[in-house]
Amino acid sequence: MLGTEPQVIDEYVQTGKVKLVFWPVINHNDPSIYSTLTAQCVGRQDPEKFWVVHEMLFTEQRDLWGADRDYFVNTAVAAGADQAAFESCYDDPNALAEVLQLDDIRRQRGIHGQPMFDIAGTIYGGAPPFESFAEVLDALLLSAGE
Amino acid sequence: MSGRNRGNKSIVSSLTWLKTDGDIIQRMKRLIITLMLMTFFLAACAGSPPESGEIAPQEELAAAEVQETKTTLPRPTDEPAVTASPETEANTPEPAAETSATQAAEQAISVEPPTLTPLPAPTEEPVPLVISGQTDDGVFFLGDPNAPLTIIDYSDFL
Repeated sequence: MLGTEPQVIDEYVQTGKVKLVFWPVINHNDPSIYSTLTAQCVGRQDPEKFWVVHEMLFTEQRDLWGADRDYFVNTAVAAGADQAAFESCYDDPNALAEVLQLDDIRRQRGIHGQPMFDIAGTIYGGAPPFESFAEVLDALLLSAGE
Repeated sequence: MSGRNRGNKSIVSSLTWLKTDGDIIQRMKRLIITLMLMTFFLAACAGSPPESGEIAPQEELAAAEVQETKTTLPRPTDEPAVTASPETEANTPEPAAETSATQAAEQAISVEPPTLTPLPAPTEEPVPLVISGQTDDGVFFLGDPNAPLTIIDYSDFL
């Protein structure tokens, strides 16, 4: 969603019309697992920083394939996280288990591809342009009386 | 002969008086001229421009600009125009009228749309746009927790 995310945030999230939830999907084993773990551990320190590292990870997506622990630590620190607290979380088996549990839950919900979007209970797949999001959101907001 | 002399004396005496009257008239004339000259100078001094002759036109221009600004202030579209009834005008002193004009101007100013504040440069430390938090499930959200709509974005970072 990164391509359309800024517009959705500007026009719908910042205006209070939409709450945006990011649910991680693990499709590529360790690179996916540790990217998600990094985001979750940064978010534990400060939910605002979750969205900072979320953007950084998507922007540097190609680097994630060969990323190691140091890469993720540096990324977390660059996002404003405390290094010691982050490393403690990153190395915590419970934190890793939580990441895997989130992935299990999305499977149970029938989410088997990505990106997919649950908008008011309806699942939309692919990477639609902003106009498609706007059309769906505007119709739902209109029916909700907003 | 003595009668003739007596007549000459009275003529001389009359001429002397005439001469005296002429002096008085002359003095009166001088006094009047002096007064007229003084009046003229005083009037000329009172009507002359100040030494810094360029300031007065600027002040007049500024006053004209202020007047023009007051007359061009926008009026709220959703409120009726403020017009004073004749009774109000008769009973309201001038300062109150000025106050109402000021209030009308303030109301007009308050109707202007708010200006947007530009966001800081992206190179600085990122500033949170809106509320963010973590749900009971352990995932993170952005936006009003009570927003009418929720988008769940299922995505892999790769």
